[in-house]
Amino acid sequence: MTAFFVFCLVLIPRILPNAYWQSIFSITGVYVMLSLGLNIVAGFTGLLDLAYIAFFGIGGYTFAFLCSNHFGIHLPFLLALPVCALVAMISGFLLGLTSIRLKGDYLAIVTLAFAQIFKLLLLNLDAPVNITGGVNGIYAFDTAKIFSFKISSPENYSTWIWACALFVFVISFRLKDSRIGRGWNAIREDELAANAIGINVTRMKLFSFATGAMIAGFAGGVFASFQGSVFPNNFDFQQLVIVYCMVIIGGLGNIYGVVAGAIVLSVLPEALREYGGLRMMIYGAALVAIMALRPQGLFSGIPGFSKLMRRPDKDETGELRASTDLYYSLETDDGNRKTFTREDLPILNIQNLSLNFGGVKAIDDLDLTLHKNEILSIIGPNGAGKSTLFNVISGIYKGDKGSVTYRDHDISYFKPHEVVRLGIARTFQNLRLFNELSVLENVKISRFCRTKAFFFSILLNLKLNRKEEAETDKTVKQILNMFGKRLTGYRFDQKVKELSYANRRRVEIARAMATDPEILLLDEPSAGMNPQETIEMTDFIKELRDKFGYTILVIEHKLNLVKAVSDHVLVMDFGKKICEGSYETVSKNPDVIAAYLGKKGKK
Amino acid sequence: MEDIFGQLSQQAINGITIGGVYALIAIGYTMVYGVLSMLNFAHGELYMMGGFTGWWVLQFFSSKHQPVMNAAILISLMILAAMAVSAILGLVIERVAYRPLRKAPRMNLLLSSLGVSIFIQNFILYTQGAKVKVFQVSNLIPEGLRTFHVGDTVISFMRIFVIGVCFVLMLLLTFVIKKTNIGKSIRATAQDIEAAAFMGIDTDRIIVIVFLIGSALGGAAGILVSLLFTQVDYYVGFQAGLKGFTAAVLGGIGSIPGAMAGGLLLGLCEAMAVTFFPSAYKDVVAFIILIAVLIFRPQGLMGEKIREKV
Amino acid sequence: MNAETVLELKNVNACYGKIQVLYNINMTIKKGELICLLGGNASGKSTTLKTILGIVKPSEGAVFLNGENINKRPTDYIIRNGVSIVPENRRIFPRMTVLENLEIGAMHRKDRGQVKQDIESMFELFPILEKRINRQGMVLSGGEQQMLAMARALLSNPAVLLMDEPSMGLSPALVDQQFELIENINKKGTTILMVEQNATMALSIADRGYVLQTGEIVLSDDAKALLDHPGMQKAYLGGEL
Repeated sequence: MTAFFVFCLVLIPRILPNAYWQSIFSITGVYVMLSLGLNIVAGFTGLLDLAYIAFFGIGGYTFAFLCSNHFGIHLPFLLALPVCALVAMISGFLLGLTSIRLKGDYLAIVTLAFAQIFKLLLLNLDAPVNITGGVNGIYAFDTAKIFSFKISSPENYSTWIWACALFVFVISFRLKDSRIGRGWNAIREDELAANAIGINVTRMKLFSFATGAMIAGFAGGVFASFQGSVFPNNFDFQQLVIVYCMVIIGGLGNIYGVVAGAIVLSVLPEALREYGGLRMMIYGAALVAIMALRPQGLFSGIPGFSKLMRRPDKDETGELRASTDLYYSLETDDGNRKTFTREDLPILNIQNLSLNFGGVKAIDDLDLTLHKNEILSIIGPNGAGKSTLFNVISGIYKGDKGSVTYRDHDISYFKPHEVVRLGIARTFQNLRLFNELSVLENVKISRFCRTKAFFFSILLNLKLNRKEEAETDKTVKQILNMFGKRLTGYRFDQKVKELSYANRRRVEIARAMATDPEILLLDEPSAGMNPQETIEMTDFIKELRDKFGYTILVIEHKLNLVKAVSDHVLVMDFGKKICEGSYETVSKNPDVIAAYLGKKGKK
Repeated sequence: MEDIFGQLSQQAINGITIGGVYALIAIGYTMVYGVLSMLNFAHGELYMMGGFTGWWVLQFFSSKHQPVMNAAILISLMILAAMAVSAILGLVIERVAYRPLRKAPRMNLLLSSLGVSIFIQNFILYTQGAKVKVFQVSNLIPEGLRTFHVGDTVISFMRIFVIGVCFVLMLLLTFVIKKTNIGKSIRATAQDIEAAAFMGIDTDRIIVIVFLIGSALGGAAGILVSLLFTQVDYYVGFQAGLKGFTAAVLGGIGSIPGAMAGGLLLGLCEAMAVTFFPSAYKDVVAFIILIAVLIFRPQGLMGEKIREKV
Repeated sequence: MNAETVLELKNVNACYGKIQVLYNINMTIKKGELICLLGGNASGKSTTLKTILGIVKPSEGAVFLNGENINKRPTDYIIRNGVSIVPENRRIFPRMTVLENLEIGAMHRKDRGQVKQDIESMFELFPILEKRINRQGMVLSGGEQQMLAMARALLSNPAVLLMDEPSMGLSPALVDQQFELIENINKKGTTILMVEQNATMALSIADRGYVLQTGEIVLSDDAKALLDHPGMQKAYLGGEL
């Protein structure tokens, strides 16, 4: 691919027949940049950003203001471009700050409104003071100079633009395979789950939005200097649609595909010039057709355009390739390993917790204490408020009354990602995995909250990033290895949606473990498992405490599991605690029998 | 001082007229959103098609730019044709672009509707050209009826007519939704689509009906505005769609009375804005209202806040 | 009892995507019976109901309603042809009045003249609903919503009434009442298939029961026999209390 870019930026401009094709080639470079930037926002993060083209315009007009006679400012070319990027990024950040919390289509409409306001301002801010030049735009820019080298010939412009495109391409790639890219993917797949494994969703969305705006702004500057002028029409809704078509035809999130999409859609319409009037119509129809027929883009599944999944492989002997590519295997039982038991040290305290849902008391004045290295089971009929309790502890719901304290922190008002960061991780009863991502990726995302590398460290692959990436890989594989063949080997690369129900439960537990929690909240870990698998899960939960020292709060219906693992059992019904104590005590309590198994009938 | 007052009452009439139109557009958005939770970007194009259909009908019954037909019949024909064409187009869109994506992620649905919008807009551009189509209807209305004077305020007949049609359509819709079985089925489907199927309601059919009603009202809005301003072009749908959506959000998306109130409110706000700012900025005012509502009260003025179930 | 078969599942397999969730389910429900379907969470109970309702299509096997294969039929067709459901969490239409909710339940019926009278008889069965007749669905209490959901389902004159966890989230006093009601409704001639986790209660009023585990029927017998079955508690709860 790099060779391809070098080819593009040096050779092609010099072999193209005439200035017309040279300018198309340069414009193609601008579109590659633009679509790669949009791909970060819409493809990686799944945000439908319809203000994207306005940031392109902000970049373009900033350049026009800074490098022309319009205001008489003549900033050096190489200084003006970063300023364009920065101004667009700040605008993106500010717009994002107000609207990023909105749900998908609301975000789309706010950003669309912003883009409209931007265009109206471009058109009308020529009076009473001429700021934007109105419909006539701004023209006659300074000559582009890199230090003392003038980029004036079309060939040199092409080379320069494609060098910029290469730069954006590298940024895209670095980001995609980093903690940030994984965080974005998680948000795209399932916002709530992303939040519940420690990703600050609002901040990461904002960052994505601003990064996209920055790239668009940069591309805007480059484009303005190339065209030598800027007009409102360069930045209108049609342009936005063209860029969206490029990204979608290429496949949202697929970097190679997006580059290919941008090239095809820049060159093809020129090749079919006679049909010029039909062009936008075809774009519209193509959008509809692709969404219905190939939502992954035209290039998905073609080798070289998308990372092909490692095959669910068999090795030469015909055996399923299992843990063969593991670098670390855990000693299973070496006898002198430390074992853990419940200590008399309360670490999680819930007091007088109440929560109402439209008049129904989901949790009613509940107290709970969890001790260090304890396994506490919560049982009770469906609808008793058990999962709601987990949702309160993990910060998804806020209690109406009462408090939740973890060690010295009052976490009653903590957000989900803050709770995870402190050391409480959870699984979901209905499974909220990132279904389109692989097993390995799912669990790697959990390391987000334990790593720090940010933009520059990732971009330049500094030591911090390298170290963290290696650690992430190691930790994740170690954790998956605890589940043996079920989640290792070829399964690393299998999409989660292809796993069996029981295996998906295991991935959820692995994902919770990979956030380095002290407390694990397991919501029905054995639901949907057959008796054999349930026995396995029972042993595993015990091991989680005995060998690895996790403190565990578990909701479970299968009482043999509860009996086998619990130090302490708490029974809930109608949001209330109706009884607690050892399994033996609880199981003899008549209220419990009535609540759980139902009273004996009257017959 | 009196001058300002006169101007305000004049603008109030303008606001109610345009607000009624916004309300009609908003109803289409809100109804579709109700049953499919999707934002139908193509809705604005149905409005545009309403205008164009009216123009085609007018051309058909004109010779040498003079209508050759009784004015009342001609205008009714234009409105009915506009509603019918938009309604049929709405059905086709639902069938082709949305139904195959019923289970797909929301973003795909949005992009598909964006595609439909681009397609229709450019289809009209390609076949009809970019030139504004002018409605030669000013002399349809008898001389003495063209304008009315109430105090200092001047009201044209067309304005009264537009307001009248808007309100009749809204009353009709309210009746259908509140009292008829179809209306009850639509409400049930909007409130809980699966539970509606549990009641034996063919929800696919209800979705089709919703598109039918919404699109017809959008088409009616299009022809009414075209009659009022005596012109239409291929690009009007985009702006009008955005306004209609703003009105729907203002009232609380999903709520039909909300859409009506939101439309009127937006129309009045815009008209008042014209009193104080250059008219080029009235759209800016509308979009700022949209952004402000979404940020501070995303459930709209009449919508209910719903706690997301986990 | 030699009554006619209302609903039959024959060798039904069903999948979510690539994952199989039901294995070879066979079930027969005869006119007038009260059947309960038991099993832990994620054991396949809800999927079985969804298969009957046409929401999940069987990958193999078939569902017969009054002798007709309804595999390919959409939900609304199945409802109009004699299945009715009291869904989990009741699914009352929140912004409709009690009366409107009831009317919707009866909307697809052909004998329109009879509906008004039937609604009156529902008010006799559930007097509280008459008192709340013009209230919106969302302001009703959990118990009232449950009654409304049952009345609404009954108003469609079903050949078989499905009930998904009818006792869930109800207070103990109401649970007793609830089961009494179900028994009454059944005695008046409605065939009922009920999914319930309150096993003892459910079996005490049912004629027969099926027990599901990881998508398979592991036990099926007369309710009395199931109550006394030693494997029953184990299969259902995974252990004994």
